[in-house]
Amino acid sequence: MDKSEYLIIIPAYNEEQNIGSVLKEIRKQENNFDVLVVDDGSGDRTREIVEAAGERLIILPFNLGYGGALQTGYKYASIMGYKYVIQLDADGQHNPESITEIIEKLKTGLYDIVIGSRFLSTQSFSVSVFKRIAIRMFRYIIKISTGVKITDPTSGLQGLSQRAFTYYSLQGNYPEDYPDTDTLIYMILSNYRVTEIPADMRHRNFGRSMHGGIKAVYYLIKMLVSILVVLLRDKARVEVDRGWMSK
Amino acid sequence: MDVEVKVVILFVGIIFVLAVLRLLVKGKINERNSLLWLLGSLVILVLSSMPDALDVVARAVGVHYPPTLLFLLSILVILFILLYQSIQISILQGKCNELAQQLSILKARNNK
Repeated sequence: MDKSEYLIIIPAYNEEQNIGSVLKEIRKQENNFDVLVVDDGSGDRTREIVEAAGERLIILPFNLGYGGALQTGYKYASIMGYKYVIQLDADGQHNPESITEIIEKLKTGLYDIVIGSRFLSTQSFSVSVFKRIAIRMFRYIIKISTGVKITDPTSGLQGLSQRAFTYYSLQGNYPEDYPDTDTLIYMILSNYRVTEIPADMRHRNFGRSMHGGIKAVYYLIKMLVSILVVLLRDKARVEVDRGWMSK
Repeated sequence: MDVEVKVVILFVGIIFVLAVLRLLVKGKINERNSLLWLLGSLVILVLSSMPDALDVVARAVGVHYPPTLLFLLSILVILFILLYQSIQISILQGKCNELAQQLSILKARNNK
């Protein structure tokens, strides 16, 4: 297989109903890129479908969680020497047409993280009340802690520069379950350049979403704790950096 | 402190130390993890075998019924051990994830 500079990473957990059409849609795009599906210990036919489609496949021996699967993709991208990574969800909610736009943004070399934001898009997207409040809160926290305005910090559609995904790929640098607001704040404070593009999103074709019910409450609380940790950690890190500079 | 209470605590403490030692000998627990348990049970043993010391300490810190001080100390030791174990589990989880990721990448590259 000829290797491209771009790697599309799709973490998939029990997505046999969606992954086939997602892969097909992605291949309709004109850009030359490689596609990697990370099967996060699925118990269904996800891996057979990916193999049949002829795409790159990494099978995790057991379920690591969304973040753990993504990080596997970053490790692969880092080892294989890809220049850019674009990640999207396997459930079909992200429109593959966004890939081209993200690639254009990354190619300028001005950004390390390009987020596909459903809130910048002109299309109206119905979000549950709980989710809307949570997202508004996260936006506000990002704004006051970094001064940067991010409208969709929980978006799973992102493009990353080599610098960003190489950092993420190292052990302990990426959360195992749901990476988003806390990770973004940390990256912005560490001088990674983040921007957003408008991206249309659709509801999942089949199956259940990751965030729902009691899990949503757990997620919200966990995220607030993670953000607090990031803010405390950043302070410590900056002090260490200063100590190094004064020598 | 009542003699009965003392005897029971002493008895439990001795059994506990023996159980930890047995696990160690059989290789079912490593030295590093056993140390905390041994230390904890030794503290209980010493305190229950020296009731006067417990009474003196209890009076000094204003505890009216000395056995409660023993329970308090025991709970603190258990809390400490639990925290220590949570730390160990987190570290192990991180290592386990890393191994799973590296293994799956190697497998994928070998299959090509």
